[in-house]
Amino acid sequence: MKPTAIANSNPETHWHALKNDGAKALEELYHLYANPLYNYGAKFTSDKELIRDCIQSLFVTLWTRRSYLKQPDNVKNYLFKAFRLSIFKKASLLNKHERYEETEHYHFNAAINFEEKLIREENQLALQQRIQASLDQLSARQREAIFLKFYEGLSYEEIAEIMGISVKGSYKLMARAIDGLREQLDISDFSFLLLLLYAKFFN
Amino acid sequence: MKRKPNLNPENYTLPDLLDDPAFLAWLLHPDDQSNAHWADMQLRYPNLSYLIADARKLVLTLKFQQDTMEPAEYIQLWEEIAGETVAKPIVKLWRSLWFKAVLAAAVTLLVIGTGFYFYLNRSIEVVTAYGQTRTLVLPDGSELMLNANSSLRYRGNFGKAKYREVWLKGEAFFKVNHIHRQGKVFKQDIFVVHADKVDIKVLGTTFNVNDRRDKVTVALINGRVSMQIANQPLLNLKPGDLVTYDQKRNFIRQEPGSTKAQVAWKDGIFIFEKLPAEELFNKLQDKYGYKAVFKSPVVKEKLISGSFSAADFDHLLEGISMALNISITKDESLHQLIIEIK
Repeated sequence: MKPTAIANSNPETHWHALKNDGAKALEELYHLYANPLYNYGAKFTSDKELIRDCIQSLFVTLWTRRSYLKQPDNVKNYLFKAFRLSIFKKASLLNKHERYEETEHYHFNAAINFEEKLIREENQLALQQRIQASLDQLSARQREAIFLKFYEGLSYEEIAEIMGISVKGSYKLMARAIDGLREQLDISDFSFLLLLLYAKFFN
Repeated sequence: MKRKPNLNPENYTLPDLLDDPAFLAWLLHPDDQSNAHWADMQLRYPNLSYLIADARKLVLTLKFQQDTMEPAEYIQLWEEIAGETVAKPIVKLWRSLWFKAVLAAAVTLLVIGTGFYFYLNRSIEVVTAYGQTRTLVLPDGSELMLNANSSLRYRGNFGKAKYREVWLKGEAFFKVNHIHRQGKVFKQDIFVVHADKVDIKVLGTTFNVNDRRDKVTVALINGRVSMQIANQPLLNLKPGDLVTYDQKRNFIRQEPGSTKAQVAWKDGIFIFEKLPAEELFNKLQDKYGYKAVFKSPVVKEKLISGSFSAADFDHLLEGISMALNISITKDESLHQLIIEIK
């Protein structure tokens, strides 16, 4: 499946149809977002049943509360945000006395790799390992921000909304993540990583 | 660990190219100057164009590890969501627990019902050995006596089906319970005896049926009996009638007044009226299983009359041998009766 960086089919139309008891619209939204949500959820936890449960309750809630829900500015953001909150609750990722917006104590397992057939040389494998090691040095929040930015192709505003932080906070978070990677990598590796990330985004 | 850059572009490998900050800068922020530079480089070093293509490919295949549902999981998850939301109850009827429970119950009932039906319809067979008679009471209250070497079969739901039906091989004396009182005769009122190709239909009478040696003989004591013989027209019998159907010759013989001898067996008596010895010994074989071997064929023609007790086979043979003035030797091992003139 190709990453749905920007959903081509218009989710806002589906949402509108959903409000008018459009059963088909709910299914369309499922086909658009079930896999991206699952992929996102899998970064937080390895409990696949829990991820599926969260997706299920998300869509069921969407249907049962459709007449009360406001049309969100961005349907994908709305779903990712609600899904992330649901994952945190169901997986008990939040410690006591910890605010959802500020928590650092969770896992975000964003492994980076090349397609296997292209790892022909030891050097490339070594490069991949260096990049992965640098990502591992980041905090979960920083990794998540990188994932949302470069994998899901979201803007700082969107990242802020999903992660429950301010827009300013999301810029800061990303800047710290990039700084962290720069510290870990030498200049050529870092450039290469940036290249890879941006290339991913623009392709 | 930092590798030493290979400074000669002619010998560049892919990692060398990727390690070249100028190359990365060009890919990240291409401008006229860098475009011209790398176009010139590719002209001067043709191997570079392949490397650059490879590098692009490498860039494009980098990915965050992607976690996806199995296709089956993906479909099942939607079905679960649909089941709680958009699916109409009728659509998910076959999947609902209630429907399954009802279906299971229905199937169970059907199986039990079918089993019970076959149990009710099971065939019941009563068989008598040589020399043995048995008295039976059928479920409708009808009584019958089954002669030796005979069998009677009827269904388990006897009396509840449309006819009261029995299948007879050998000989039996029937006292059929009269159910019909007045008015229209329903099928349940009719009692049917199937004896080979003959159907004997009665309402409630006393009669004897003998079905042996391809001959069916019906002796009516009282009441009325209808005989349906193969494809022949229905034959109505009056009390005292004795009708024999010879199946081999397809021949019907109706004679009055000799039913007494026919039914005497039920009282443990043989009554013979000018009966040829050959037929007598056939009767004995049917009842006791001993085959007659005539050492002197003339004996076959002898006629016997009289009443004999059947209570004891040896005494019976003794009486017969005296009446016909012959010698009868019983061979136990071969189950034969050796018959000679004295």
